[in-house]
Amino acid sequence: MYLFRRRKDAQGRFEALVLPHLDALYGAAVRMTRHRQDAEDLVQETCLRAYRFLDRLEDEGRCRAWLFRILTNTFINLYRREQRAPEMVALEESGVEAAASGEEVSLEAVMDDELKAALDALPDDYRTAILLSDVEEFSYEEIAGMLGCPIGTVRSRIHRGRNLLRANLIRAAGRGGDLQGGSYA
Amino acid sequence: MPEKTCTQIGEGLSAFLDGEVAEAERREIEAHLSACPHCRAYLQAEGSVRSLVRGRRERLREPAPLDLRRRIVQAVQAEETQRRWDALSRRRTAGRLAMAAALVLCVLGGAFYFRSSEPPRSIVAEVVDEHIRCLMKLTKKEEVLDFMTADTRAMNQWFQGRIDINVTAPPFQGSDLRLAGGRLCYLLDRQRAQMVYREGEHVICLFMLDRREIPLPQGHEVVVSSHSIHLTVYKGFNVAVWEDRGLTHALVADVSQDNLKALAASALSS
Repeated sequence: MYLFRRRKDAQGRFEALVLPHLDALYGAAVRMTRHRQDAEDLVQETCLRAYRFLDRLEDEGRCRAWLFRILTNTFINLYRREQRAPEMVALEESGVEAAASGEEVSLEAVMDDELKAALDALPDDYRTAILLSDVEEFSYEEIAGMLGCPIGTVRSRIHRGRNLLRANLIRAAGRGGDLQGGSYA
Repeated sequence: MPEKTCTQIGEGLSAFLDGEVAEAERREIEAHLSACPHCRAYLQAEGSVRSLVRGRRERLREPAPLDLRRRIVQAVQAEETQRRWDALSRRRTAGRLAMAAALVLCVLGGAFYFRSSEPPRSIVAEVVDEHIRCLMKLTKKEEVLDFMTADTRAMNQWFQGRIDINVTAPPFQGSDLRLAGGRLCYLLDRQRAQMVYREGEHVICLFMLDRREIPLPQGHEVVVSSHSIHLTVYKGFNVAVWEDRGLTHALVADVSQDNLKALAASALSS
């Protein structure tokens, strides 16, 4: 009955190691996919993959980073291919200039929904890099591991992402906050 | 090394803010910033958006829907069942063997699957069965008790260090019930304290269990000195179950429910 004992342990290990991170994974998945149903599917798929590869998790202390790596990979492979809307890359050019101009705008007055909408408007690569760095507090090295890219790429994505985000926020403030978001299906 | 332009410096500012630059680059950026107001403004702009996102961290997160966890656990269980099926299918060498293997798998897989959602076994059934085992041994004149004493204090001391709950054997004052002794028994997956009392030919067993994770049985409920006592009958034995001082008490006897209730009340008042 070796087979059964081993699998039973795997299930217990899964529940002890993976399930405590469910809220964190879901929160990040909502920001990544910008859609709650997609986020649920993404988290479920992430958890199933984590279960399948649980044997490969050697250092349980790094479980959170490992799970986010699976989440990010699943998102890139599964969801970006069937993206709902084209990304708003057009913002980029004028946006960076606005941010660089040092224009005095108080960002503290930004509403949560405006911030969410501005984040949502970022291209996936930039948004994901900012989420992993500023919201989930991973190091550049960890993020590079998750995204499978060099650290230099992480640096530039975070840099460009922040500039673009700032530009989006300034634009929204200038238009009286007509960037609506944060309340999707 | 030629000095970097403002654009090159600007590209390193995120990493600089995040403490992700090497010592040499950090010094280079600091030197440039002290001489360049344009890049200082740029640093401030980038810093403000960085602190905005970091400061709103908690509000950018949201908890998972309640049933997502349940669905994930179910999906994992389904995958597990499928995996066992596949594992066993791979091993079959002949049609007949495969059939047998599949059957075994169904039974075991099903048992495993349903075990996780199986309600906890009833404390009443467990204590009555243990009571019956004791009675059978007594009729065969076999030894039942681990420690024989009529002294409740000696009984309490005996349990100390043998079991991780604080056992107090009630004296059942006002009855002719006399403590015969105690033992450790194994029920509901753990060692439990059991005390045996006698009155003439009657044998009465009192079990004490940690109250956590043991649901009280259904059945007739009476309230005695602000404790509710659950009275049930199982296999012809009357059982009284109540909670007191963090412990679940279960009293099993072949006496009437009224007498059992009186005994429970006596235990509660001691």
